[in-house]
Amino acid sequence: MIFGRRSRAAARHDDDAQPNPALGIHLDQVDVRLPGVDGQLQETTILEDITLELTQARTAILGLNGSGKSTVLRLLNGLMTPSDGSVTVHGIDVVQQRKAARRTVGFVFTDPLAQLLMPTALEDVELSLREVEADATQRRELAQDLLAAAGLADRMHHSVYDLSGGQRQLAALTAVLAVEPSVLVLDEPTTLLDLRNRARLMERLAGLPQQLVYATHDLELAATAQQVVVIHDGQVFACGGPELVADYHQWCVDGFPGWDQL
Amino acid sequence: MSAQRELFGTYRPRDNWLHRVPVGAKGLALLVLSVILMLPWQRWIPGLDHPWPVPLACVVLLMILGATGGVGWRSWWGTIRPALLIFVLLAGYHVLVGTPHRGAGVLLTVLGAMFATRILLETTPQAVLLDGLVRLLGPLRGVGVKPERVGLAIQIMLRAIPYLLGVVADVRSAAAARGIRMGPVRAATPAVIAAVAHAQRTGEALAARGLD
Repeated sequence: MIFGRRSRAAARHDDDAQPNPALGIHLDQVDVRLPGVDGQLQETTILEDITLELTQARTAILGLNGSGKSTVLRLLNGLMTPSDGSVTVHGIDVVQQRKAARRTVGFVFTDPLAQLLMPTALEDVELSLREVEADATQRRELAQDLLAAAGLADRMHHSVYDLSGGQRQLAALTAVLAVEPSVLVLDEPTTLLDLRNRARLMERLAGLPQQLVYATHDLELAATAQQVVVIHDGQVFACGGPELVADYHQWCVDGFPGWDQL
Repeated sequence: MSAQRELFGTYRPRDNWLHRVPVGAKGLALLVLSVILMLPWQRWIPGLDHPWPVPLACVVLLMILGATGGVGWRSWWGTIRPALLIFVLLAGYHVLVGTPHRGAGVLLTVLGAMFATRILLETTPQAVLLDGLVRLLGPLRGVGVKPERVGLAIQIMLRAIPYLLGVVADVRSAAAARGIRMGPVRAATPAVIAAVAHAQRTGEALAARGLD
């Protein structure tokens, strides 16, 4: 971190930590609260008592807008810090070992334009590779190979503004995967895509060796997961297999049992 | 965000001599040119009465150089267009206060610097620029400077300039779509909010990739 105050010993501890995929992802009694402003507003609870064990290769997180599913994802690579409780990803404590957690967990945002920091896809992938490849020539060749494998060989030099939504999403995904994280977290990855690009992205995701956790409103994508978590009003409403997707659809129509009827 | 609102342009891969010049030589040339543009030559060269001929010569030279490297009229216009309002205001001010020659000198100096920057950025990949900057700042490691961080900050700033110019245009377009006329001053507040949101998103994207 640029302006960090953490000790060198803590940083070394971060660097040394290696992920162990067999340990899965654990959220233990996690609360997330946002403080009020100057004591004028009440503290807001975003998540309350979230306890989850994510051990399957694919986990879908479902929930209405504002339910807290994106916050759950942000906890996984330390973009959000829990007010109480702990989060461990493949054995790495996300709060105590943040650098290792960021290396372990790749994060794909809903809007790839917010994620692509460099002017072109090639330069953005090269930026990611800075951490793993010191030689500039090899870095460039590796970035070109990765983008070509993603089907962006003829678009890698174009401005990110000139790419289609699908191409941006693939470029963002390539930049994140370039450093080979062991977990990939995606926040509504198909929301901005047309049907063709959505199908391409789903095909790409299906072939990845990483553990995937994604928040989505796309029930077809959710049904491809082995584990489905429903977040409602900042709490875990249900957790189960892909059969939960049909229940969730019903709850969206009829109301969440024992909750919305109150 | 309007892609065309790119003040300095982005790298365009081509195979010509300007693209092959090492980044260090281009950076040095940019530095020398900036010094030439800023010096008050009319004070030292007899017969040179006004401050604009030297910057004008630089601009013409840059356009010729650019043409040999594939940087053409579209690029120059792309550079001028976002800053056109500022140019008009500057020119108007100097005409009003009776200093048109000085105004021409100022405008051509700014234009020269912008054109030189455009050539550098259109013929050099940003990753190569970043490496050049990091090498340039290397000796400052001893005094606690982290060249990689500085290089990245500059890269992100360069990426943000066209975005922020586009934000103002987008805010005005959104207002126009609702039948509201919005001048630059009224567009400033939503533009500032959008700029802060952009900064926040960029920070999150950096953090998510372990680059914070």
